[in-house]
Amino acid sequence: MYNIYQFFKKRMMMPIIFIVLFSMAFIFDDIETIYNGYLNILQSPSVLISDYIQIGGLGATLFNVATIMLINIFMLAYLKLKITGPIFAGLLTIAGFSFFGKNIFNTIPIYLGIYLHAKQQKLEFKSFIIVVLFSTGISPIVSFLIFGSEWPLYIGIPAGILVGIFTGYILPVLSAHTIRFHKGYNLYNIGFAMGILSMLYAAILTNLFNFDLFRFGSVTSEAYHTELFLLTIIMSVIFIISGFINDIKVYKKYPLILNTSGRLVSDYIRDAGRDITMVNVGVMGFISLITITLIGIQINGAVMGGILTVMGFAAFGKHPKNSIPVMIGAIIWYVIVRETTGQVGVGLAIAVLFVTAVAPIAGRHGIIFGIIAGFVHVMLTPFTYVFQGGFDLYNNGFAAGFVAAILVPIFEFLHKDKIGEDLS
Amino acid sequence: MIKKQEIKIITNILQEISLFLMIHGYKHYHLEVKNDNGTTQIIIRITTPKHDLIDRMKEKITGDREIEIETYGWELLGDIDSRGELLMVGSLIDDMNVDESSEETKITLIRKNIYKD
Repeated sequence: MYNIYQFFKKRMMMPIIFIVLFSMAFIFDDIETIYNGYLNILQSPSVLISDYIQIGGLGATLFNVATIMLINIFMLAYLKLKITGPIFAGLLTIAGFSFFGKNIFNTIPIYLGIYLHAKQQKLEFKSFIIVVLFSTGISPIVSFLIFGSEWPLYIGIPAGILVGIFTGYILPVLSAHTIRFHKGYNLYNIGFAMGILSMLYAAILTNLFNFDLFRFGSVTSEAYHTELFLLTIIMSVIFIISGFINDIKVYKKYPLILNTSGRLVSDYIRDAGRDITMVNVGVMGFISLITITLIGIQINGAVMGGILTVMGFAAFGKHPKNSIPVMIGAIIWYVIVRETTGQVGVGLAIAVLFVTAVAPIAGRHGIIFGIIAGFVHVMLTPFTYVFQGGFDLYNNGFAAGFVAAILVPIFEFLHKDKIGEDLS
Repeated sequence: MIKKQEIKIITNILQEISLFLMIHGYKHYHLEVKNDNGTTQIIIRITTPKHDLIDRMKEKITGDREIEIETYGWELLGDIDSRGELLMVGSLIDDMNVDESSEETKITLIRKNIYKD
């Protein structure tokens, strides 16, 4: 029994999460419904925000999430990579965004592009694994060109695949540059790199091909709020219990995580160990649930993506101390919008979770500056969405890059003599 | 011949170590780089070592090399503003030796180069 536990712990419970998601797909729907729903998902343009629960149903969505996770787990095993903080974050982010934009069809060309880049650089493909795992945030460009452009398939399919390969090919270079733009204070750095690229694609498609990129609108479904709420509780409990099995006093290691800023590249599995990192993952899952419950957000595919991303990054920079302040900043703006307009869009609702991209700002500069960063972030996200045309699923990463680039120099100026304190 | 990318990573490691030492009050230290047979050695000599600091360096730098950091994140080295950065140095080197004598402490970081012609 202990050996089985060690097997799963070494893999940060990912096989168990896969089994839970895969099983639940067939509990909620029968095979025929899942099959038909899955075909709808594969043929969806998938631009932000395409909730696969609305497009294909819950069973097909969970099937999509589980299969994409499985492919990536196999890929990691094939490359003989152990699960580090960034890799864990990448896996759960992939799972999260497979609820609203990623599918097997639109992710493969991007992986192929990164593979070609590695070959050209004469480096092992696995050295690009972080970029690989986060790269598929731009996968809607592939689906859009094939299924959303209204081009005949003999043009759309090659165009989508070629653009996907090109995107993957240049992404490692772009993401290496953008990390310096925000100095590692945007945890979704690759989302920022993809946002820049998406902005270029949006400009080309709008100006040269006269596309209306926003004609699809946002489709979401809150019909399975209770089920997804329970699913998150199950996953969070699995992580917390798994953390305590090996060491009942594991909580004593929590300061090793809580006292970090979370700035890139913070690998909590490496720095604090698997046990306490799993506890942090579960705690962040519960914090996400409490947050959305407090302000009355119902879980749809996009919100579920946000929850899983927050949990994933609990191994790669996020913890309660740096995340809660930025979430408070986001909630303040959320409440202002709700009280003044009477309605809140899904983009703002998910930003309350994805705002944690800028959590390192709170981790480094404290609660007040964290709240300011969170507040500024959610005000910016609708603008960055328009810039990038909806091709970058990590729109909050795109926005967070600008937020960090604007605020961090100011906060550092105000805290210019504080560097020694962090080192003590 | 070392490839440009390899040089950039090594110089960032040097900058990071310099920042760490100077922030902790060292005014006199010696950095040396040797490169042969596809391996780079970064040698740090300190004449007035603070032993707790050396222990902290050992604790943070000693760790497995993580190949994924080679293509993501190393650009942030040399911009220290938290305890974490030396951990990233640890991800980019294969081995670390510390020789302590009455005159000086010599720290050797060994990195197998991955960028090749």
